[in-house]
Amino acid sequence: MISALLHVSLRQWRTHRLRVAMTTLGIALGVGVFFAIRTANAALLESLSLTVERLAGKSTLEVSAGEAGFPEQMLDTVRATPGVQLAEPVIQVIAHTAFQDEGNLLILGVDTTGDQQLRAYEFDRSQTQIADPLTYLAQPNSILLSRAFAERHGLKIGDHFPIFTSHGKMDFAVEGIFKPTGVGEVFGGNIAVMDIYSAQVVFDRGHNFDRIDLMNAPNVSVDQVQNSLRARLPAGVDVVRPEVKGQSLENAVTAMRLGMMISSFIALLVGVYIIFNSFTIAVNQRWKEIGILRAVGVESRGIGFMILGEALLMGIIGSVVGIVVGYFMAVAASSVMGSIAASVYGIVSTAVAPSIHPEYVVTALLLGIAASVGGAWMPARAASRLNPILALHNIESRQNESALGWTRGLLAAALLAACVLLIQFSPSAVGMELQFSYAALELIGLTILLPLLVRGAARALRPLMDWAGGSEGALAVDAMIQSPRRSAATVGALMVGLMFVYSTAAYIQSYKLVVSRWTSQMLNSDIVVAASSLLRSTSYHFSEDLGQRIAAMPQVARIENVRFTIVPFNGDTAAITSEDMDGFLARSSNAVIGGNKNTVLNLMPRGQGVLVSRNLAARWRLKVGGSVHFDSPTGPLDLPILGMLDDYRSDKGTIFMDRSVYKRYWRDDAVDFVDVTLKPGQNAPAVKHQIEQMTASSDHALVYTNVEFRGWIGGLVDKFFLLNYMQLVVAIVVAVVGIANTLVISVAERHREFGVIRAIGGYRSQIRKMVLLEAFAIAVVGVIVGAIAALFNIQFMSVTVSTVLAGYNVPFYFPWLLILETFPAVVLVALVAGWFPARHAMQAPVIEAIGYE
Amino acid sequence: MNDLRVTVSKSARAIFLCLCAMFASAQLFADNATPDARKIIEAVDAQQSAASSISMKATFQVFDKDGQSAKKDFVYRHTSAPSDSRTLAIFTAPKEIRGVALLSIQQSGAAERQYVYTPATDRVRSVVTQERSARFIGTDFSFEDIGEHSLGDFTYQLLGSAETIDGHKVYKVAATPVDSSRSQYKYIYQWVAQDVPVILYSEFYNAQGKLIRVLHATGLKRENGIWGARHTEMRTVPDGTRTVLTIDEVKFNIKSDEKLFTPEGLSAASASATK
Repeated sequence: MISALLHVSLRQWRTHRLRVAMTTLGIALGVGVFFAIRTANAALLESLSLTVERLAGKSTLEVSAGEAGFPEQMLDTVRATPGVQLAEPVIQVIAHTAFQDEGNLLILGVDTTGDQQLRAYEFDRSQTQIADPLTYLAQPNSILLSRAFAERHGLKIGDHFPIFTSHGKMDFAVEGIFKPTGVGEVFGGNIAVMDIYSAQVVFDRGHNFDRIDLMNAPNVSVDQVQNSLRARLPAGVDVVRPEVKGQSLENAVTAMRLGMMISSFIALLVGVYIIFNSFTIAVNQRWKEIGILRAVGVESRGIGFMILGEALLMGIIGSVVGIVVGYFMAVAASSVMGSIAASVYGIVSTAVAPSIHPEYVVTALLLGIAASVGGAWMPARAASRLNPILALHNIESRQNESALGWTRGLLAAALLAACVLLIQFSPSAVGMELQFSYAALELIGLTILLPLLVRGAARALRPLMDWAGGSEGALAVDAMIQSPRRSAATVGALMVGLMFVYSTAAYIQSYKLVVSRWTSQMLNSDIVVAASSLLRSTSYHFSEDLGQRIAAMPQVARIENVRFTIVPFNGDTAAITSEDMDGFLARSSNAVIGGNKNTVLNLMPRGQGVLVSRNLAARWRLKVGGSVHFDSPTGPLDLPILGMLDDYRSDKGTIFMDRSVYKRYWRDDAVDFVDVTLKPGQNAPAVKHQIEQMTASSDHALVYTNVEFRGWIGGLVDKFFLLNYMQLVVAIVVAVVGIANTLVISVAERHREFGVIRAIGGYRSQIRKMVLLEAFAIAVVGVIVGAIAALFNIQFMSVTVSTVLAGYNVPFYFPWLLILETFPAVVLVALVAGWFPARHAMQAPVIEAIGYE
Repeated sequence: MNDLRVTVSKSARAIFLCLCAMFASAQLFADNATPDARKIIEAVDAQQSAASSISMKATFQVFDKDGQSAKKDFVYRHTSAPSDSRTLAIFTAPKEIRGVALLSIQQSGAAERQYVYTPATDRVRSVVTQERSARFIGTDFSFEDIGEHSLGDFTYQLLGSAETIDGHKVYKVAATPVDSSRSQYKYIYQWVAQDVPVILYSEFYNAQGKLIRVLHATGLKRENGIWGARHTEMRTVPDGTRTVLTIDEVKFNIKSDEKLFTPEGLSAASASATK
């Protein structure tokens, strides 16, 4: 029996090759995107892990205290701790070279006299040692380069090249070249090593180290040494295994990885819709055949198994194709993700080619099969319930479709209501998985409601179609009105894709509006001088000398040196913005929310309080009048909260304090931004030009007028959302495939109908018109239901996604304009997707078409 | 590949030991009978305690395989008291390394401590003990070559007494490490002058028995009754590089300010030597 059913299935596949191919493509696309994202994610994590491993060398523990580092005296404490066999200090800097085509160089400041026992440096074969060890130690501008970097720039031992240091542009002498293995593999080989005490001088680190890498003695466990160190070191100092450091890097890119995973699930979801649509049509087409099978003794269960078996086979084939295609997609995706990790998150990584993980292959295969079988479940159920007698007499045995029964309607309404309420009122941190399940409620509710939405939209559209397209236009929407559940599958794929496009675009737009408001309130100095092309410079900083030089210009009224850094806070991290509060409040006091304004103006410049961002307050349930506690490198610090601010620079939250307090407790006088206020009547572009000239030969300074700075922030926001734009592309691609698939299947289903129309005198052009009008109708209905679905998803993204990924809400924004603007594009895509099925339909021979089934 | 090991504070002891190796009392060679190999080396070694302090000006000239050379001038001071031996080397030229000071403190019952002071960063740092086969501050001397040795670290065998080097009749002695794990060498051939207790020539063979270094001492002079070579050349055979140590001036038993022989005093020591 099984072989007979298999024979029937295969015959069907041969007859409907295009439909089978398009359905399988739907699965392949979903699985491919899923597998690609998983694999690219894994490659990124491997890359981060490899980077940590290479940089950590053989060290078993790392001592660190946030970006500002800690006093070097701590090294003596660490070395004197029982069980510590070797402890070596490190300063890590991403410095800017003056090379046109390659900006960044990762510089490890290490004590080379002992560090080789921890890290592997392999010197160039032609070199047996550092060219001149004494000069290397004695001259702060001595540097060792990876061969990859040296070769890229034609550098050899004894050559000089410029690097921007905290004291300006400085020529560095190449004292050695090491092989691109071990440490040399990190950061694409753009790595250099210099003496740590020289690094302290040229990068203005005072007498601080960034971290200490250590090895435990063989007879003492890592845990024992870790506990001993924690007992001896100040509270703000962290002692962790290098792999934990790797975990924190992974956490930093969680938002990006999650975003990509969401895209991949959406692709898979569209695949489910496509399968559902395809099998629904297949069951309709094989209605009589199923009746015959039932009449010759095949049980209803057997019919169901036959349909599900076909879905299983299609799922396997689609998944295998998807996995193969997905691997090549992963190669491209991992490159993009690595680039975003570096440019947006400032994370150093090592190039790792994506590898095939058996567990992902199995997962993708199972998901593809599950999606395929799941999508075919309802059509299989319907097929197994066909009445064989009525089917054999060509009588429609199924009940007329209702758009929505009241139980389903209630369920859908309840799910959507629950989704809205949970999004709006659930606590901000109840667990990412739980919070993201709100979207599942939303999608299930919308899917149940979809037939109603389709019917409503089609009815609304019918007069227009009738008027514009004549009888062909009316026919195109009548099918939707009569069979809304079947059409729902057709429109569902488009709805999901468009919903994602609209809501992501709305989220980005809303975020930009918020950032624009924030920049006008908070970042409102006349000129800003920045140390990095990123919002936060993790390693390259100015010294205070630059601010003094700018302040000495006759056009300048005032400058504020700003340090923006990440510090340990409440067992996690938070950002600190430290600047001269007198100047900051003179410009931005109206941005302060809550608290007494006079108290803020009075106490903040004296360093007797802090302002906290609202996302930090929400995260840690902080209130004005409460206090914050820091375990700074020099000891505990408690300060009262005098007010709040909106700040979007850190998803962990930001604390504003006077620079004097920060410098005193963190022993860090580095500067990331210099905010410049001009005297009245001064021309900002002209002064900007002067500052650029003043710093051109000395500092890696990016000088902006206020307008330019806001534009720059906008550019950074765009860069931050690069991933979301990629997601949009994925959504659009799956939507296009969904439309094409739907139309191909629809045309195939109506092959006979077109034959009959042609037989009774219909023109080929009428057939083409019908197919294209159907494509148009699908596009219009898709846009309508997509926009309705987007209403829910925008709320989900503005509140839940934003809170989970960024730590703050953004206002609800509905992208009316975007929907209108993209409408022609959606219609065009639908028409293009419908063009080939239309040609196929009108070119089919009449006799063959009439005999089709 | 051993090369980041740049702990230069060893240089003080290095130079001291070079001197010790070269300045030996001729008195022990008065006996006309042919001594055994150990006694020959004992005679060389005995001069280590010949002076309580040493002060000298010297130069390292390092030649690369193409014959290009770089010179490093330095002043060297060594004091030794019971259970406390301190050596200090301060480089005076070229300008890139001017003022770099190296201090080594060896106290009985404690591990050796080494420090380096760099004027450009005005920092004194302690440094860790280096791998024995690593080059010493970029010269052709390895840390093992310039390190302190105990006579008991090697066994000695007299191979001959008929050769002549630079006009001196010499004993040829084979020195073999007692513990092979503590030496990069499988054996060392040493040619010791028969008329003065100075090693004139040495060949160093690695674990595979391949010749890797050759030492040649010339310009023997006697100062305060102590013999020594004024020019010592070490060649690294596989690399084709060589280093010449030239001693321009040497004084023995000179009183020095003890504060300069401390990590805290390195800055002042550097300043006084380079003013």
